[in-house]
Amino acid sequence: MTKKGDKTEPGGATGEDPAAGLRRDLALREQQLRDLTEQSLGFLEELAESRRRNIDRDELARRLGELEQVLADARRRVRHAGGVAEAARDASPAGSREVLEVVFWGGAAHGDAIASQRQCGEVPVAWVGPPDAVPARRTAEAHGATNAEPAERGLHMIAHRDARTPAQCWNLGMAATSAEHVLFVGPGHRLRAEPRLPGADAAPNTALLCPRIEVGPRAELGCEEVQLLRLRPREAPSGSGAGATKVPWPSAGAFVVRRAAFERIGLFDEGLLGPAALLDFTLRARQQNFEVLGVPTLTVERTAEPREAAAGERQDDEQRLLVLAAHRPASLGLALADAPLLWQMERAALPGYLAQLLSRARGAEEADARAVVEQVALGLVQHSMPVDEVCARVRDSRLELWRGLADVDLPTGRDQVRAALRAVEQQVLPEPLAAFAVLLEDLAQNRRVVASAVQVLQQQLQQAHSQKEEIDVDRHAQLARAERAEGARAAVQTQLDQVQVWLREAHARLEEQATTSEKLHHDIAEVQRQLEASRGQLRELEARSAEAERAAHELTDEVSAVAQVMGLASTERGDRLKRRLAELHEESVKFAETLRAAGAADSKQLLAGLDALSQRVQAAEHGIVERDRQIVRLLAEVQTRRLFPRALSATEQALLDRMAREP
Amino acid sequence: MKVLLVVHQFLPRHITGTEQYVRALARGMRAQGIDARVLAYEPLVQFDSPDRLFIERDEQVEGVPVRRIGVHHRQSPNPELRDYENPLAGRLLARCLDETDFDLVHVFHPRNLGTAAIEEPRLRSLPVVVNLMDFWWICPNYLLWRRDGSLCDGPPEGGAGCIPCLDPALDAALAERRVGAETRSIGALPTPAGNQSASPVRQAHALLGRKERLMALLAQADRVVAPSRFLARIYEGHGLPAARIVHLPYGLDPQRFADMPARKPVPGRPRLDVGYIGSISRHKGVHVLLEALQHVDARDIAVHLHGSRDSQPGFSEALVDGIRDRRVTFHGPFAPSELGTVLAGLDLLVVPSLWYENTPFSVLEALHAGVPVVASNLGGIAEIVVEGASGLLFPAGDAKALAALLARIAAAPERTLALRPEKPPSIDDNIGRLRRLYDEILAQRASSDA
Repeated sequence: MTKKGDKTEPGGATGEDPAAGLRRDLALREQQLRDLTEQSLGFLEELAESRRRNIDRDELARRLGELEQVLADARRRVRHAGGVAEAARDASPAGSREVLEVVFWGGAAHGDAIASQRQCGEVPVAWVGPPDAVPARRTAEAHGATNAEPAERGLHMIAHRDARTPAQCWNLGMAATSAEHVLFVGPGHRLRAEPRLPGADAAPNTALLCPRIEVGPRAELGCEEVQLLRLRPREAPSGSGAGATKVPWPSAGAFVVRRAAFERIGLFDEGLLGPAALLDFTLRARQQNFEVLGVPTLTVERTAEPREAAAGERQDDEQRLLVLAAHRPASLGLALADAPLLWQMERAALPGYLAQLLSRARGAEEADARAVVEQVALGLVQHSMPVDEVCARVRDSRLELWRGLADVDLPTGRDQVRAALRAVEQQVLPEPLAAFAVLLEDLAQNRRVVASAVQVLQQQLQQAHSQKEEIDVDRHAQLARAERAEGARAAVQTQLDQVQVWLREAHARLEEQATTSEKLHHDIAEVQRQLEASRGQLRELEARSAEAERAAHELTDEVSAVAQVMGLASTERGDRLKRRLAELHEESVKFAETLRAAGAADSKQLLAGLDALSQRVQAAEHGIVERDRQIVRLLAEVQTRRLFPRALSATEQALLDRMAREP
Repeated sequence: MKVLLVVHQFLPRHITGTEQYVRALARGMRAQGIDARVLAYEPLVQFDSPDRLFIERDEQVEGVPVRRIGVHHRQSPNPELRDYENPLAGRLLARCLDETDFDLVHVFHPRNLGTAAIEEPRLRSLPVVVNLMDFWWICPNYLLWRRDGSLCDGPPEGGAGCIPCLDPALDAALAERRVGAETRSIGALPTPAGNQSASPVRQAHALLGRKERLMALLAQADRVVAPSRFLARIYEGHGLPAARIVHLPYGLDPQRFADMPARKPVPGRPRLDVGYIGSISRHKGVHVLLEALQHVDARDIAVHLHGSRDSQPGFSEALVDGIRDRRVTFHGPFAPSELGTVLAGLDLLVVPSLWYENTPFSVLEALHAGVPVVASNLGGIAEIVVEGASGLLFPAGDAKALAALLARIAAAPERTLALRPEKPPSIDDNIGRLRRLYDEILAQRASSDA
């Protein structure tokens, strides 16, 4: 049974054992290989997780895309709801927002824009107007042609089919720009120098700024009211270096809108045609305590006089009265009486206009409304319109009044509107006063219906506002998430880049390690081959050693026996035995040489050979003796013959003597 | 002589054929003067000792000293690596070896214990004999049987093909991480023994280098015992030197049949009792037997299913719950002591295995009890079931062929039931041959040491 102590301890071989050393080396190399594998697996794990995170990142990017789409959609909806300015603000980061941009508006201003753009230096210049106002050459360039004049290259063209009225152009201009201030320049006006705004002059409650408009030798700075919102240009103070001053009204020819105020006031009313929209905007600004400032340092040149056509003036009056009805309803009657437009207006257009007028005047008190109707009546009577014509116009106005409501999807009072409409259609009043009285009743009833509907609408509006706020909160949350996601994505990208760099390095190290590993394997194989060879040699040596040891044992035993035979005392055995052993060794050597010389394998064979040799020697000796005797006999005959006698030689005599002595 | 028998699990909790064989060998050896002891791994340590990282205790099982060791899975969370590289279990084995002067280590199944079962004895210059019990050294699911039910020749693509077969979730995780090619490129490098973390990369790597690592280790054993020539051929085909292989068919412990009641006489049987003994697993083909029964019209047949449902719970639950044929009875597992009683109640044992069975103990036990066997003509079964002498064979998985056989036997049972199979070797025969093998190895060691 193999005992525990006899077993080779793992790794416990001594330094003298080359096989153990090789085994240890082999184990070390294998451990190195395992370490390299461990490193490789570690790299692979990181690579795997990185790639998995990449999938997450792609998912995140897809989600971001969705959110951005939602955001864009929300922006569109907000823009349609009156949030153009907000959309424009979001379109450009605050850090890169321009202080001032110039927008030329109207189809006729295209040439002015091109002419002015060269003077504007670094200030961005845009033009907004209907597509048919763009010259054919410019349109071709927009479709890929490259022969545009250099001056047009920096002009931002905003051609839109809805850019027909000034209000539409201004709203589009605000939506298409992002500067803190936008200078709107109308047809017939140009810039002669790069426009600059004195920053300190723009007080926080400023909504509009009026540039100095130079008209030949004189200059204007905004407008002033003549009567009932009828405006005229205001002469600028002499000198262009004067500071900013309050101005009653801006001039539609050139004015600056401050975006912060615009976001509070809202869009230009696109229901108003012509410059009246600016009038309405100014009045709304004033309601919110915004002011209009004149900026004499900002100069615009008027190159063509405003239109003077009667049709244009009439339209301006119509729009002015609409603004008046909305903001100063108490003055509407006076204004109507002052203006002949009701009598000059085509009959077909009158009911619609009156309805529009009355609808804008809904905010007015009942007394004001009565005043309006009375003014209308007085005006009609004053202008000697036939009675039946007056009654017909009043009736048309009543119909239009109710139809205007019937066309609206009122939340309440629809039945009342339908009943009133039927009553008006069936009712024929020959007297103007009675007609006007009924008109007043209609107005009162109309007011109640509208008030009721407005109340419901306000509630709905409040709900809508609440929902919008929720949407805004959600949108802000989405934006925040998107920002966080983008941050995370950027971080992941950075990590990915790092991992990729690391991976490349790892691959390089892996390749290097693989080369080392291959060399190691080669070395290991070589070492194993050497080990096997060593083992073979070891086994051979061990066998020979065992044989030698066995022989030594046998020799020792033999020596002991010899010593005993020789009777050597134990105390004497030491030196004498050594000497004797040396002698024996010498004899053994001689003996071995003898054996080799005799060609015998061992002593027995040698002795047998010697015996045979001895016998052959004896036979030879016997033959020699016989031959000697024969010779002696012959010599004796020689001595004794008579014929041819001769003397014996010394040798022959010696032989005779020797033979005589021997038996 | 002191011999350590190493097995992947042991009685009393685990009672499959391997455990029964090791038990019989250990008892028989001890009866014949060999100091045989068992080192058994306990794979369910996390259930009976959830708060322990490992267990190491000495027990006596039917008079046999047993060192039971086990390592909690959280200590070696990589299931693919734990299957054959379990460093802590290796240290426990080493401690066992250092405590006792064993003369030889006989490894029956090193699953969960791993390469240490050979490496640790060799570090101590102890001779090692390995008994091949299945295809564990080649195949990670030890069956050479693919997930789709087809037979396998061995790990395809250097083990890469084993990943989707063994663990589709792992395959999906690798695909998601797109590191399959890189992992395969280092598949041949040795597995780092110290790191047992269970990332997809490491699980895959453990499968990639598995066969080469284990077969190289198996070739270092002093002798490899193959109970069937079929198994020997398979392992030879995968590089195991033929000179190392010793063919030694399993022997049975006759004591297990000591209390076996007398079997029913052949004439006058009221019905044909057909039995199935084995785990209710898909690769065992028990469903083939039930499908075949649907094609057998005879009503005087009773099919008895004996076996555990723990191996493949999902499959077995569905199969047992889906039994509608009144001729079929599911009995569940039986205690080892009930073996004789169970076999005495059978006229016929059906072994419809779909994988390369090595040498099913159920077949040997049936043959020992004189019960004819109808079995799949596959793997090692065909070596012990002799057509017309000890039973009948049918193509594996062919339910209609099995049905035809059953119908034929049911129609005329006398001829088949009159078969008297030759008894397999006894456990004492095995012990005698093993003792000679041990002596031979030790003598060789002694001579080489000298």
